[in-house]
Amino acid sequence: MVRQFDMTFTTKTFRYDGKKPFASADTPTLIDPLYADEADFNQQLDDLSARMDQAQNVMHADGQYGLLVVFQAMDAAGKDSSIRRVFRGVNPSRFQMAPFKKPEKEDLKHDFLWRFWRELPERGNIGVFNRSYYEEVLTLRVHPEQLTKQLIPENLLPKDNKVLWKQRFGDIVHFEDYLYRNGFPIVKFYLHVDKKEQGKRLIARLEDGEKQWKLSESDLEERGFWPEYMRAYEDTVNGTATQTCPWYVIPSDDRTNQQLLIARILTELLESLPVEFPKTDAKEAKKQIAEIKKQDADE
Amino acid sequence: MKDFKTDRFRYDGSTKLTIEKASSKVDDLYKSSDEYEEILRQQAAEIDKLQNKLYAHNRFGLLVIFQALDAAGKDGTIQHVFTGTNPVGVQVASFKRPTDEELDHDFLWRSWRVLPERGKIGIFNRSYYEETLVTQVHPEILTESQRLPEDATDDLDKLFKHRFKAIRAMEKYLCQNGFPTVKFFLHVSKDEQADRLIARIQDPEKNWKFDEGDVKEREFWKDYQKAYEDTINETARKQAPWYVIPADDKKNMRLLVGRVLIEELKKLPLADVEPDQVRFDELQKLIDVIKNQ
Repeated sequence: MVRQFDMTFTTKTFRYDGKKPFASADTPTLIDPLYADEADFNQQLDDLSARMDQAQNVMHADGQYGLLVVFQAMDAAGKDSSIRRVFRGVNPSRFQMAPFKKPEKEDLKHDFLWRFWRELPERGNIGVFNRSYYEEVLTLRVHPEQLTKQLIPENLLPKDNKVLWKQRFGDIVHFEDYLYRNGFPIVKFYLHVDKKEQGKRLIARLEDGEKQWKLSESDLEERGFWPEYMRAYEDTVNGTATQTCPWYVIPSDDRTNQQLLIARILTELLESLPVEFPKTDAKEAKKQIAEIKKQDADE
Repeated sequence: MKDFKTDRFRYDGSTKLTIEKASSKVDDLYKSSDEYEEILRQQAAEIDKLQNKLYAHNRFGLLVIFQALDAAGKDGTIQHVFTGTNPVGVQVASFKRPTDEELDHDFLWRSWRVLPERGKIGIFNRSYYEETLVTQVHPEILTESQRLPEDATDDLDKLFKHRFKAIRAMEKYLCQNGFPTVKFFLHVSKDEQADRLIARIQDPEKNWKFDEGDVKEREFWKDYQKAYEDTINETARKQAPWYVIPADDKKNMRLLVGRVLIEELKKLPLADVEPDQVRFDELQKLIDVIKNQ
């Protein structure tokens, strides 16, 4: 759906922090281009990358904060390509990426957040989750039969699954709030793509010899559950959007717009963190320099 | 960019390194800052392309090790050479002083846990080589921190020989399993290091990186040079070569590292993915499914 936004919009337009409800069907998947042409797009994105890199450099030196960035979307909505392009200018030493697939046997032996704890970023770093614990209220909600694999004691499972999803929203909100208060703000992106656009992309993927391997039959099966997924995303965003850990719903039918918006939101967030280069002790610095000079004079 | 051979920086066991004779300087590979930036960008794009191929092929992973004395430029080289490649295709592991948990294990344990996956480039910023470098300069680490059995530390020469052997065996094993190793020693002169440490202290955006320990370690310069020479000579192999990179000029150093990586990646037999007719027919059916949905 194309929707005209007032071009004076800020990134707040796409932000959900619990104040306004998210209604999937009324939310655009396409907006007017934010760039004049390809060169302009590249220029804008490069500028944002440089700012992100600089802001992250300060965050790292400061050493108190780490940033967790969560990406959720239907297949082919642009998770992989956005991550690749938006973070290309970031120092790879301070970037951690964790893709999450179906849980493995070992994961299922634990509570549902366990495998995500292990991949959280360190202070000073940006950590990206390509899919996340949100699958536990998305895929699982569409396919509740998978819950039995999770080995949760039956007497602890609510009789009504609705209660279960509510409980899980609560678990996630607490988890994120805890992380926030420990110096790890979280930003969550839902890449909102139109079903027809997804169909085109899947076909393009099937026809492209270099991309065929990215596609599996199950991706297409999931397409059959489109309305169920949209409903699940809507409830999830509404159930877990908070002031401190907001969701951003990104119109994703145009990949370039999508990448610019994500980069802009991340840059603003990184630049807003109260961080600075640590102060030095001038006296100590002088002493150390004298020491180095003395070492070399002795030779 | 000037045409040059990286062979003269390569040590694969066929020649011995004499560290005093290895230069920390090299003729400029670029004419201007702009040209340097341009070459660096092109190199990153090429590494990106090769990594993408590595990923699609899904058989090999590359382990890249950086070792150097403080302020030789490990962090900056990793940042500049790999910025511009797919951040998802590159995994960086930085090794600091071992933690208590790590000390509860054998010396290679913590490295195994962070080896790259197939399809990826794994970078070690420092590595298990510290186990024959810093420990050779400060052997008390072996007895006081590492809690090795007493008879293992009776004869230190023997201990380091065993460690070299263990490292060679591990790198050979990894190579046979699809993970070749490339190792860089960023070779900086003592004078240049002094300039950089002083600059680091004076630059408010960099002095957080400065550690007083770095100045103390300078006292052991000769011991470190000796340890590097031994380590490189003992562990340079065809399947896991060392490159001794002149590091007094940061730009030249980065261009050299980038060039070597491109050459090493190109040596891997990455066949293009062959189209498969059976799979192709299945895919055509899938396209029909989407169209009908």
